[in-house]
Amino acid sequence: LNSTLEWMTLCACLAATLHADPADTSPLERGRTIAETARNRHAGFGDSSARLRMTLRNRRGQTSERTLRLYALEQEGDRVLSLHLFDTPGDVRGTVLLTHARPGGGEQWIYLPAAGRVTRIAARSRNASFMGSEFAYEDLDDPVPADHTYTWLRDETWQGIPCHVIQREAPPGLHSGYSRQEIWLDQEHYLIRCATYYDRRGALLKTLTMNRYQLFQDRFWRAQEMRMENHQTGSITQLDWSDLEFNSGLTPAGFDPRRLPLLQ
Amino acid sequence: VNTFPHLSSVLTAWLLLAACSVSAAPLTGRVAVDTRLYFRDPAHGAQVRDHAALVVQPRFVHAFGDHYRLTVEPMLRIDSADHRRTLLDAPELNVLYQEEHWHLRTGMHIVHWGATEFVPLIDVINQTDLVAHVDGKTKLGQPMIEFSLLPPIGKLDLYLMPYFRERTFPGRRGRLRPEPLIDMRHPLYESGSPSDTLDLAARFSHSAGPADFGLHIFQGRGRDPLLVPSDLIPEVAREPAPDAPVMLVPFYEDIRQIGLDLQWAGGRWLWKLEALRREGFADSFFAATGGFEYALPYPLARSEIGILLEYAYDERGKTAASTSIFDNDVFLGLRVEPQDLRGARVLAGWMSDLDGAEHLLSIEASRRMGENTQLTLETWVLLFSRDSLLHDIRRDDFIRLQWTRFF
Repeated sequence: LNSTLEWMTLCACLAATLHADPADTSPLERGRTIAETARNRHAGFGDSSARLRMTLRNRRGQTSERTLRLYALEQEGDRVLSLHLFDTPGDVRGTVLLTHARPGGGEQWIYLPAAGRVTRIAARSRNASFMGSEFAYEDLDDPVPADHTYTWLRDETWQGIPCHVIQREAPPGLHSGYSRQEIWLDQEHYLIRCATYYDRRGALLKTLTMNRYQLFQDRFWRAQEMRMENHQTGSITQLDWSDLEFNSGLTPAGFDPRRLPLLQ
Repeated sequence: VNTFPHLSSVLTAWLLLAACSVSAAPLTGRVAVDTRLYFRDPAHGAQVRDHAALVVQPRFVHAFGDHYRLTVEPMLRIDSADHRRTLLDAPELNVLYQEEHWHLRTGMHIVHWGATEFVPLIDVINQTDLVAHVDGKTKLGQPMIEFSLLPPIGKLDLYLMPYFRERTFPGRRGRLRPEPLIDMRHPLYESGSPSDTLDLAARFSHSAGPADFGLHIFQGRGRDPLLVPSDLIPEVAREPAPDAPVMLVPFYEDIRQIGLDLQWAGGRWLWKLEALRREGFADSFFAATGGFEYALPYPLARSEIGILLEYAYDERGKTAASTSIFDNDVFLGLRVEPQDLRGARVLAGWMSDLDGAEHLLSIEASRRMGENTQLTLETWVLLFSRDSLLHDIRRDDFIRLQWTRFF
């Protein structure tokens, strides 16, 4: 079955490449095709769990580190349930963030052990910082291609890897913090290698690089290291992933707000 | 030392057991130094100017197989001036048994139902540790059997509480206390004794779309005491001697409370409500508190900013039968989280009694100093009129400086 799947993916990929011949498609269509191929290859993981170490460094060289455990479960209709459990630093230990995401919105709860209760979170700004890092909440989403406008810009090599370069623009309704993003995806596996983010005024704001890609279950490529540099503040956040597991049998019951206080 | 009877020996045994039996145990917790500095000299004789407390709160959690979990979390607080603030407690000391659709917990535990930010209204399971903080949000562990059922829709929690705990109050040397002193040694109960009580509670809660709500009922000894001057108490009920100096005697009535809590998230708005109806020794009454938190759409220099507005109502008003001062009060708050390296956060609040008797400004700010050290700075400025029920603590504006080390 695996080889059949690979065959189909390969065919789809070939078809996409052939179909995306610049001679007969517009940059818009080609950009959309590349984005959809990338997303389709990234999705379908069922459920996943991982450990994350987040290292924050500011311009003056001060650093701060936090560690957390992440669990995610895919649901029908592009819905994703996810849990963030914070282990360090001590003042946030035991905090649990639960997100029920669906296209165009969702629900979010937080459990603070000091307060001992589960509280809802009002929709925060999508461009707000995730835990004080250079990653915004919107950077951690896996965006639905249909919601955005993609444009193929060019093909070029990035650090020796042949890449497609596409541009992503969010519609005004999504309240993105960026005017546009440029994304480098390798031509072989459609993995994001690098991305640049431009602020609302059009100035370069951040650069994301994704390294140490590893293949899981012969299907899912995941970057073990992500690095986001803010060019305007000089701050850098690095995410180091470890203990990635897929299809370990997580169920929706584990993502139930009623059970948050029982999680450890 | 104000200890829970038999608790210290039980705790010591547990701690020894925990320390000896599991070497690779996940032991976490905190050590804190909590300093209170008061702006003004005390109003009552014997009160100290400033004081500090050392708080040690280790936490040990161990799972036995897939179903059992032991949590041991004692808390020891030693105050430099007020012996009534020195306390050994166990916020958590319980065994949890979990199945897929239910769980059973036996032991000491803290249960929070509340939704609002400023007035902790409906929480009725745990007694308030009032000397820990005058905001009334710190609770004492309650011995209980908790049974939780998770059917496909909603959640049902049932509580059986076989022991009653008294509220903590400052002693003679402590600040933030009434005059005359509170008689901790001879509390009065409408019925029974501390060990001779069986309180019952049930709560149904549910999350649906943008809303979370809960409905509860509690029957048993109320946690909020009335403070009765001892010279008003009939001599037959008075202890120890009819000619002792006048003190305020806590009187705990038997109550039945039904209440609800609600959270509703709509875009940047988060609406919160707590309401209750309580029947007791005096007339039954209605009380509610609620409001919203609004998240500003554009973070200022990436800070997350929330604006809070809440209102509290109590049908009893400011009568002698009231156990709360929040009868017709408005709260305005500002929450700022700069999203910096050190996890800084600030919550400023302004409380105004609409009848004009009390106004209060509080600001709490905290940030990490290193990876596992946190500094909290808090101040309360009290503006009470002469006819306020809180006139006794009018000179107790304070600054709290707390250093916490997590391990």
